[in-house]
Amino acid sequence: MKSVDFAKYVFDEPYLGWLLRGVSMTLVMAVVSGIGAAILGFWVLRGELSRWRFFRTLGGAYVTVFRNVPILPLLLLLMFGVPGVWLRWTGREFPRDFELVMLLVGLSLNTGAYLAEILRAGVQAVSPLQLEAGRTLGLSPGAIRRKIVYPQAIRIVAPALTSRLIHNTKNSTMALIVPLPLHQLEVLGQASRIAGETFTWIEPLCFAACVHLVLALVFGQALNRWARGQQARVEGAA
Amino acid sequence: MNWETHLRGLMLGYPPLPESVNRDYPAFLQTTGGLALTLLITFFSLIFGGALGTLLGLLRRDAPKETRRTLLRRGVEGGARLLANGFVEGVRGLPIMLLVLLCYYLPYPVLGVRIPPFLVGIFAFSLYTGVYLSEIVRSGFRSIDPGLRYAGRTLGLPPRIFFFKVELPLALRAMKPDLINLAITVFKDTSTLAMVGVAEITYIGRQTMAAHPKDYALVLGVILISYWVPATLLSLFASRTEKARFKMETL
Amino acid sequence: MKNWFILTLAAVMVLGCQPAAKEETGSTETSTTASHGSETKAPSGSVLDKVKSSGKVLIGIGQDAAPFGYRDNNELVGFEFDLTRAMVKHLKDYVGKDVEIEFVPVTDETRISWVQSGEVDLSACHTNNTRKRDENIDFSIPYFWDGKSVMYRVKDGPKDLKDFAGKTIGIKRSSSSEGEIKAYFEKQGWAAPVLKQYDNHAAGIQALMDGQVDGFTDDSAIIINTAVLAGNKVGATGDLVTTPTKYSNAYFGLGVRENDSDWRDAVNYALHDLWLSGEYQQIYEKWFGPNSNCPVPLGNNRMEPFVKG
Repeated sequence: MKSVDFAKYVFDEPYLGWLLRGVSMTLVMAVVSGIGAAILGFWVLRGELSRWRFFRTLGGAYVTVFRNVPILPLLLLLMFGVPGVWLRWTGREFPRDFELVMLLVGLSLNTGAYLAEILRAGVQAVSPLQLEAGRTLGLSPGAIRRKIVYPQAIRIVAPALTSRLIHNTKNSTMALIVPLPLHQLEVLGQASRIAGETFTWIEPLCFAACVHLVLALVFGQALNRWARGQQARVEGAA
Repeated sequence: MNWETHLRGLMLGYPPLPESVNRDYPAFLQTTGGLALTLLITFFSLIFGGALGTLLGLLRRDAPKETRRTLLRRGVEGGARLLANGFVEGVRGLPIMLLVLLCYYLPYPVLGVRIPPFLVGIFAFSLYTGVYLSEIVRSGFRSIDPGLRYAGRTLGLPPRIFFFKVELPLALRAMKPDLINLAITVFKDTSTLAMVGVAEITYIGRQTMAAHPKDYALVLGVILISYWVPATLLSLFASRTEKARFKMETL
Repeated sequence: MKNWFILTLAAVMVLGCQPAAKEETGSTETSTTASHGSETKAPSGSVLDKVKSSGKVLIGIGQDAAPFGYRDNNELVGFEFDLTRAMVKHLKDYVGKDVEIEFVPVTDETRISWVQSGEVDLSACHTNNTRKRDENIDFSIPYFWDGKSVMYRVKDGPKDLKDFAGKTIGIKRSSSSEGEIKAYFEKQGWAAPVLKQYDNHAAGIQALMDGQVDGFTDDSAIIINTAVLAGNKVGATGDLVTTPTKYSNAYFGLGVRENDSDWRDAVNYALHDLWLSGEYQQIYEKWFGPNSNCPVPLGNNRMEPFVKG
């Protein structure tokens, strides 16, 4: 049996460089896919609240499909299914080096569905009397949405939103099955690369675990502070 | 191509090699595969995780303020709460993929026990379920009006009877939709076990795809649908109970 | 909240350091006994003794690399399955009794580390014998002789290794390809290729067919067989073809525990007997003969002992 040796397998070159690169990629993935998911979730919400039946159905279908489908097979479909289908249907090759984009799209699709669902619950929790008040003041429907409904909805569901965004950060580890170029691997991908080189899993895995614990705590702290601020405003208004 | 055999493989698994079946472990877990194994692992994880989560949740419950307790008892309870909180925060901070990999790679070097992958899966997902469940249990008990406790005491109900007859049923009713959502999450996330060679549906799907790469999209479609259908049915059920809860509360 | 931060970190530290403390003592023990005399055995004993007492050998076997171990029409088959089954029959002479097989599925990630940790007694997972791996485990005599080349699409025109300078090449994760191909290109003074890691060979070949990479590389026999099983024609007139030049040799050996001479001898002798009895050649013929998916002439490679007696 070998001894556990963090100095050799984690804190030595080139492994530390790989892992730090992985950490930065994890951050990039978390932030970009989180923003993507927020935008997507917002537009799906608009669709679900739309007057047009078509958009309502579309939004509802999106949420039911992507909420109830696991992310790993979804990523496999995006990585390997889409290029093949694309080639067969268009006769042209799917553009090269889209793995990272596809990964971000997959993460956003998954998280977006949850965010839309959470935001809808928030919108439904806004008192109908407030809409009435807005209408009496002569505000347009758009202004009512922007000025009254959305801000309050976000405040009400802020904790659920933050926990989903943290979950999204953790989901970036699913990139383990994504064929990324070596410099784009996230922290778990780099850890498994080290494991492939050195035949030892414990040290790089523990490092990746620490990174994710710290990320969850730091992101959690920041987002929770924001959520608490938002909630305080709800209670202050009430 | 023989789609019937592939579909059967995806749903029920492939016949295993006689040499790879380990007599120390229940055969039905080792010889099933595909969606059946996914469901089995989900089922066992929910049961074991349920026990763990209830325990953790009860340990993490907020301390009742006014009751008279000895210093020792308060100390023990506080310590247990601290430990349980630390455990829950630690496991919750880990992505499920990392949790699965840790459960797969650590037991032998650390403890010297060889655990077959399906047990690794059940273990990892029991932890996962337990930790999230403890949160649900805690907030379920939090949702109970503290006034009830005074009412119970005034009526002279013994604490045990109060817990089992009043607190628990109310908390369970409040927890129901969250529990169903947790079951859906666990069911979906078992797909990560494909990374450690558990012959659940994603793993078998990938082996099927290896033989028929032209049908990647098709096989993946079958996999996604077989996750989607049970998950959607369950979530419909959850939203119905949620509506029921909502109605109950407004009344 | 700050407490949790410290607490969880502490928990991880404890989790990480516990094995360190435990195993460091373990490894010093084995190293001291090893230095005292070659005859004294390590406290854990030889794997051979373990196999003798339990009558069972744990064979780590790969399941997703054709033709060594893969699923064909829902059944696990492969060269390494046949080889280890036949070899274990000959192992009887060196163990002293019939030996039962228990196959433990291993992956490219675990095939070395599980031999190291003792989770399997023997690993048969298309492992080529590299120096780096040999520092961690020992290898039996080679039972398959191959090399690594790059597979590319015929319609992209004929290519050799130097045409891949600066291009995108898919590799199998946890294979030795990354280091070897980088070293080869550097030695030749070519621009380093961009490497993409694939999770299994079939996915890599599919990505190659879909034009997501310029080439895919691993041991030739594996990539050719995987491509053929996926319904592609391999050859100059087919869909896919491999480069004529190989950038590294790959001699496959069975992985056994480091510094366990008794067990390694037993495995080697069983392989010798397999060759002498002619069973090896039959198995080889079945998987790499002229009628197979990927004919590899046996050439001058030999597994028999120099002197027997």
